[in-house]
Amino acid sequence: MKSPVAIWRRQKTNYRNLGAVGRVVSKTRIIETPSGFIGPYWVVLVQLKQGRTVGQWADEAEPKIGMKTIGILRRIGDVEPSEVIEYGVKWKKW
Amino acid sequence: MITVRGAFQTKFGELWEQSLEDLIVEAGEGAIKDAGLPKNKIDLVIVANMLAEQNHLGALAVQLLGLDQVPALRVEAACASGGVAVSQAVTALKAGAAENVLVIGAEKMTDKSNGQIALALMGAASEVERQAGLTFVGLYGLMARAYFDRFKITKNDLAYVAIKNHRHASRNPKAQYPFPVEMETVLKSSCVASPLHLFDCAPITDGAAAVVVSNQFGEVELVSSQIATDSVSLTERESLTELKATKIAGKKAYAQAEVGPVDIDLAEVHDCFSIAEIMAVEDLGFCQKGEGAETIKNGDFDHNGRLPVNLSGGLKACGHPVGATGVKQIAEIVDQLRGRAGARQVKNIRIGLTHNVGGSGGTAVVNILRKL
Repeated sequence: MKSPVAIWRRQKTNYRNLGAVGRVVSKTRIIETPSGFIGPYWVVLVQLKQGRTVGQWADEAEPKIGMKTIGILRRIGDVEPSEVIEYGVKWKKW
Repeated sequence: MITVRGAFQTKFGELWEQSLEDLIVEAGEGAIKDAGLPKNKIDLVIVANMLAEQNHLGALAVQLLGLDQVPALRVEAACASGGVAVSQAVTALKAGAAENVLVIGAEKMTDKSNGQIALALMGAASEVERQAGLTFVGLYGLMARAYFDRFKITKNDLAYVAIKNHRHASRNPKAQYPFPVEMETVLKSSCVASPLHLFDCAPITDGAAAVVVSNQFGEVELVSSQIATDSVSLTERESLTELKATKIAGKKAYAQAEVGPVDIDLAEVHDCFSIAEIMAVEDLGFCQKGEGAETIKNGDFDHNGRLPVNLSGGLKACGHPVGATGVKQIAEIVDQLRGRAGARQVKNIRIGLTHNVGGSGGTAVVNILRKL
């Protein structure tokens, strides 16, 4: 079970890149997903002014290398009925 | 002088009848017997393991092997646990804290589902990577995509890694997959995390290996053992197409051994994914940057090539019981240098190298061994 306290603590950093704009520098489509995630889904490596970050892609359009992207608020992962839903930043075409 | 006096590897594979404890005993007993030492001469035990829920593995190994009440500990550095454990044995010997160190690498992976294993392996990544659902394969998928774009190779070029390593494994009875594969099989295998397909990936493996590292005379000298670290998170790295930790550990190991890449007769490198072997042979100086795929395709690293790489079958085809891999690589090179590698034996060899990586490159260990 995900710790509600850990999720609360991560709020301080989870939204750091909300609204940030960057470019996709690499991508991978995760077919074999880990427990707690429903796939398949794309994960993109994004180059921002302040450095690189990774996140899930939340756009119908397939990510392309060099594509301009913006950080948006989305639910992270799957949860059991008794667990706290975690929110964080995913990425879409900008 | 530091030597490897004894070495042993269990069969690698889906060993449903063997527990983690069984594997520790088989490997530990095998290495002690191979060293020709009575058990009371072992004065330190180091167990390398990444994923076991069973803790206190050092003391447990001592109990299971019926050793005296010697000091024992567990080392964890993700998939580099084995390499780091051997390096720690060297440190203990040089400090005068022991004379004969038993290093056991053991991992039991097939008791867990694929999803559980994927999640457990993500423990070696950063929190941001875990939150993104970025699997271990996905991390190397990001590196492979960046490498494709920079050096203009395709997934067809990656396939030659699997083909070579399966061909090598076909000569290794302890390999998980001791059979060759065709290009078509590799290319048609299902995608795991693009652009990497099933045959680009090392399998989920049960297995163990053990070595006795000693300050007494032996047939094989462990000339250098060097560890380097880098950012655990891929996002913090200087480059996506090389592992800086490998380059630093390699440079230090070559300097300590007073040799260069051209002096290496054979190597076991960390091919957890096909792209990883391509970057490894470049980062270790076996070929120029960007030429790894072409050099593998040309047969330079084949059994009869200029520098045989992964004669065991590598992680891809011999198997990758994560915490055990670094120890198994040493055992394989020791077998070769002692001339007892059976059908995969290479003639006229003197110096071998092992390269073990943790996570997506947060840790790298390079060992160089020489026949005495």
